[in-house]
Amino acid sequence: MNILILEDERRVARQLEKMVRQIIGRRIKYLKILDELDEAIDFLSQNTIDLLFLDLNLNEEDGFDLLRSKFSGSFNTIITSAYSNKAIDAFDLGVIDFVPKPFLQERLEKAIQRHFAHTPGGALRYIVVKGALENRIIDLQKLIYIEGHGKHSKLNLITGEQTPHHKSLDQMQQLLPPSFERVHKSFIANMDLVKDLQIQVGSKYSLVMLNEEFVPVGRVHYKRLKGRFI
Amino acid sequence: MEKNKKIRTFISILLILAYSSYLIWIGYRPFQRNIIDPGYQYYFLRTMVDDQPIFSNPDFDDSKWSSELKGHRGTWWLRAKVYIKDSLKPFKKRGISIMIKGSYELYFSGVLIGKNGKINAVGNEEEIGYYRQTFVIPDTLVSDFGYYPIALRIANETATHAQLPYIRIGEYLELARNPLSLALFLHILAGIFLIAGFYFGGIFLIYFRQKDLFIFSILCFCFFGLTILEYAKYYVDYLHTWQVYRLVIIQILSLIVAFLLPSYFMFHFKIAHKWVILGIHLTILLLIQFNVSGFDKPAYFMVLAAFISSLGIILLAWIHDKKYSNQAIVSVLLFSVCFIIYYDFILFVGFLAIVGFAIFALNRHIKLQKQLYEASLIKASRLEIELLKKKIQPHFLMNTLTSLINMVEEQPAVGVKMIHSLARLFKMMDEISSHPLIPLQQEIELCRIHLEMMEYQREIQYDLICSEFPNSEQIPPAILLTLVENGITHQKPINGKMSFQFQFIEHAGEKVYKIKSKGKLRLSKRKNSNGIGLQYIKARLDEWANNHWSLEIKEEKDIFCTQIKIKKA
Repeated sequence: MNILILEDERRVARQLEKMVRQIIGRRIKYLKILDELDEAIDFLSQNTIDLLFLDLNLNEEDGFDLLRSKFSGSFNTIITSAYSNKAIDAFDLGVIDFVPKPFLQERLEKAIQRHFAHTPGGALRYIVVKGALENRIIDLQKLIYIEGHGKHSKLNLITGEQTPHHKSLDQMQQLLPPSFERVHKSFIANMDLVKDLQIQVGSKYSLVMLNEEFVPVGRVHYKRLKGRFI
Repeated sequence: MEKNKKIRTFISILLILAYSSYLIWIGYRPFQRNIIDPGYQYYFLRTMVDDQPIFSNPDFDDSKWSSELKGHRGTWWLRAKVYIKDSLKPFKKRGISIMIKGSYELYFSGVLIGKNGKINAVGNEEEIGYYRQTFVIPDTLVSDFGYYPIALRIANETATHAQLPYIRIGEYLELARNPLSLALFLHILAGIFLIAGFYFGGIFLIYFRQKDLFIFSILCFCFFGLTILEYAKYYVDYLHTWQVYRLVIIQILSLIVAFLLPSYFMFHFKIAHKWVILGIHLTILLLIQFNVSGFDKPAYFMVLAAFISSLGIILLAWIHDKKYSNQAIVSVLLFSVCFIIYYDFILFVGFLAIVGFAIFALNRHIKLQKQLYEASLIKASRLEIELLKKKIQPHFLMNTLTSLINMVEEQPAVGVKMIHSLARLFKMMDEISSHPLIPLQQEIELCRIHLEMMEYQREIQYDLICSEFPNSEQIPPAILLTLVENGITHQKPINGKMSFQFQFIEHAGEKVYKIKSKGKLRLSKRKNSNGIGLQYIKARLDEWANNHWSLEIKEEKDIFCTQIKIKKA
């Protein structure tokens, strides 16, 4: 396993290295520490890595720039930054976790476990819900459907839990992977978790989800969907 | 905009030409006083430079006497008729009030009814009389409505100017009291002028050293003096020989007022070519002074000239759309009413309009200053917050804490040192943050502590070499610190080392603060960045040295050099 740590403060990088080695020491093939964005891009053009620990403030340069580069799809990224309020943007760019400084061993372990649970693909895997105290990270595999509410939306989880989100349904649709489809003018459904398509009384159409919940389907969308359920 | 200016210029020229020619025409009307002031209600004035007792006889034929008043000196007689048209209420006395520059004996219908001063048989003044006197007319001398002859035997060795005597008939008490009510009203105005004089003078001395305020203060004091001198005659008994000095002082004050009024507007509106225009104005005033005879007329024309100049200046300000020029136009037009209605006391009421404008403009100015001051306060507190944020912003704080954890785990002894450095850094930030200036020594110390922290965190060796500087030197807080921080982020160490050099140079007119940092410039920093750090420095320099500073950033090879120059004010 190849790891790159991009961090502008040497001692912070060393601390991170130490902790990562304590967690998965045996599995590391090599671990590289760099402190500059340009250097990292150079490095990535010649080497392949599995996991990147990325600091967002690199000598006043934006670490996000790396995630927007062409290399971003080939590895998993864990953000290590002092700015926890940037987590929301980070997840939009497909990172798998965000570990705030100073690092806690348990938090880092959890992040690394997430890495093993995902093959790198660059697609969005988590969605973050802004909280008053802490941001909440939601695994997309647990998100059944999203209901639009004007400029905001409501996430419905497999557990039956509901939680509001600050993005609109249109913004969500742009962000989410293709398995999330618009099935109604105010609903997006996770097509991986659909059991059936039903016609109900009064020629209303609904998707039956794995947890037996119904998601309304618009007439326009029904035509597109019906072929898949024959 | 240009079109607007043209229209305003046209209106201004039209207004000033039409209005000033109208006012000059009014000024040339034959002795406007006679029309309104009822004090000159006598007829058939005759004078004779001679002295015979028979002249007091009401039946004496004075048809051969001169009907003009010349600059008579010595002993001479004045005969005239007064008209008594109304009857008296019971127990009231008729009186006669006279103002003339001379001692005299007053005969009413041939009977001596009063003396002012004392004239001996040869016609010399043994005792000098007062300028203004009021006498009782005995009831027995007036029987019916009609003309009654009066005769004055006058002695005036010192008389220089001919002035029509003021003679007024009426109820005795009213004659004494009525002018006092006018004087009372005008003394209230005088009080306003006096207070305004002190107010503007005080503002000038304490707050704003602006010439217009000083000029206006003097103007107010002059108007105060004028008012008091004009109306003191009604309640101060002074010798008739003093009248001429009083008039001279009034004339000098009028000249000063006529010069200062346009000067005030000139400086208030900051008009170009001040001294040329004021020079022309003063020349006109002096021409009036030496070419128009008498006391009242030159004063009238001088104040008229002052009004016309002022109006011109304000219209010039209006054309250039200066602040409050509209209000100034209104105030001088109100002032100009005195030329139309009745110059005498309306002049002082008119000046009240200008005082009103001056107070209005001053208060607006004070309000503006206050707003600017408040804005600067807000800016100062914002800078303080900015400064404090430097060390509690998560990037610095969390990285430092992470490094500390590493230290504590690996080299606990060094970790303790680092904690102490951090403590010193916070303590120092707390000490300096609220001050606009701190000792340069302290600023250097701040940079050293920061570099110490960075050495621990980045494992790079940082050096700071300082040139000598006087102990008393001061600098806004965290300016050099910001430059050092920029050096750290913009440059890479060479062989694990980076060095900073600080130089303080004092030339004749300026102080130079130079920070050089030696290290490889980071690739991405080749473009000249104008980050938050520089904005902070610029804001601080603005607060410190207004516009008298410059900031220069040079980079060559591995050296990054920032130079701040402060020009001495």
